[in-house]
Amino acid sequence: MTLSDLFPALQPFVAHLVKVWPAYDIKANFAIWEVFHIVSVLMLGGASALVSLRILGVGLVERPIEETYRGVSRLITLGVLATSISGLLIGMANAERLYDSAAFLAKFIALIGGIVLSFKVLGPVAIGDRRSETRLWAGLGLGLWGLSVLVMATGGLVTPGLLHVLSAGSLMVLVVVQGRTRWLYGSGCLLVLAAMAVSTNLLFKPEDMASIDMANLVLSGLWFLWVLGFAMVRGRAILKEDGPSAFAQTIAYAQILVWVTAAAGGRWIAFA
Amino acid sequence: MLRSFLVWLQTSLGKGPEEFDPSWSEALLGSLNFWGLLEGTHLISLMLFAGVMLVIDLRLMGVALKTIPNSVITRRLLPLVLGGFTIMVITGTALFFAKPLVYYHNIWFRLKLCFLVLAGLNILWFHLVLHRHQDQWDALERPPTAVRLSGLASITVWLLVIIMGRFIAYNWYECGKPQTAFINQVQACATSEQGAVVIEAVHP
Repeated sequence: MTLSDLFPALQPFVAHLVKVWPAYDIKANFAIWEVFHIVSVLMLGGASALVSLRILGVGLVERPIEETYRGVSRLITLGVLATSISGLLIGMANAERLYDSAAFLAKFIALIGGIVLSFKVLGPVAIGDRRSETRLWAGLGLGLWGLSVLVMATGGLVTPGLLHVLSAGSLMVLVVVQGRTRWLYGSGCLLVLAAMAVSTNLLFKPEDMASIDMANLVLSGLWFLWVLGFAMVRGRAILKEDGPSAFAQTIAYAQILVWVTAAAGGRWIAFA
Repeated sequence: MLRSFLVWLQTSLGKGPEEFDPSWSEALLGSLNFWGLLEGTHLISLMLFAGVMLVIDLRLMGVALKTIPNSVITRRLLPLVLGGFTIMVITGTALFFAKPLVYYHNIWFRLKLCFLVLAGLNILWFHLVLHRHQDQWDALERPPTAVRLSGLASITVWLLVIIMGRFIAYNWYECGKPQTAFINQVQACATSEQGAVVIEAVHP
């Protein structure tokens, strides 16, 4: 699924965008603006990840969550602004390519989901604000993230980008499961990865893209179920009872994964 | 000698007995998804590394997390930075292994390595000189000028590392293209397969 599939009537407008100022000026210095966008995302992702990790009991654990949030909240605001502005500008300069890219659509939706979670949910969660409005924003952010994953999962050549999200989720679960369960869980993950390597490199010929896509999708689905299964069975270990609320911890996990999804989508624009 | 080693790394290491059998380096570059996944992981670990490093440096500059002592920030966040850096080094080495000669003759890659060395020197300066008196400025909201300068230097140098890393993807100064003698010299284009083409010779 791409923007051109969803809004085919926009094609002339998209084609015209690059002729509009400042798009043609930006296109001439695209690499500089691209770096600006990457650095903005790094700042936003890094600052909000610090708060999420603190909620999950990692990082600045000696200090209240609220203090960590207040210490980086200006960075998050600046990151949201810089990411949005730079994204809009480089998007204008490269509009026709992005219009036909499933990876871009996945990244775009994840980026908006990430901004919603970082800007409207993380703050209230960090300072213990229990307004119902926060849950609505959380629903929107999580829904957008789910949609971006769906776009990536059905995006053909883009689908392997989901492996970054699965790897990040797998690593989080690997940290919290203990003892023999950890070995069993880790072995299962490695087995799926090995099956992926064999099917995409040995079992099917490189030109048989349909079979390779299907193998990627099925094995990614299996891996997802494996991670989700362990996460649910070991839910108590993942959502710590002595930590912040289950809602806050769920948001923290999702917030990290939504930025991984946005970064993976962004990188995969160049590959497919 | 270094180039000969890289030629062996790219074309001979792991090569099968048949003429068109790929070397390990060529197989990695030609792999359907693995190379892309390595690049993606390199970028995502950069988010962990640079994102958290930025916050540590901004604290040194007295800009962010001002109420938390520097020692607490360093003790608690440095493991995250090191974790991100380790993944970056592993994936970066694998990416280099896939195209060693391209990187060897790339001006941005060479500059990236220079800035990495500078970043290392700044870390050394911090730990050998500034860190010794940390108890005097640890809890200050606005640390002394030398400490703030070290934070600023760190942000600047890591930013340059990121910029150089991104520019590697662009072929503006690829060997074989007409360019100044200086650029040819810096990239050692004369020893590359494409050779050195001096712009004055093409457009006198």
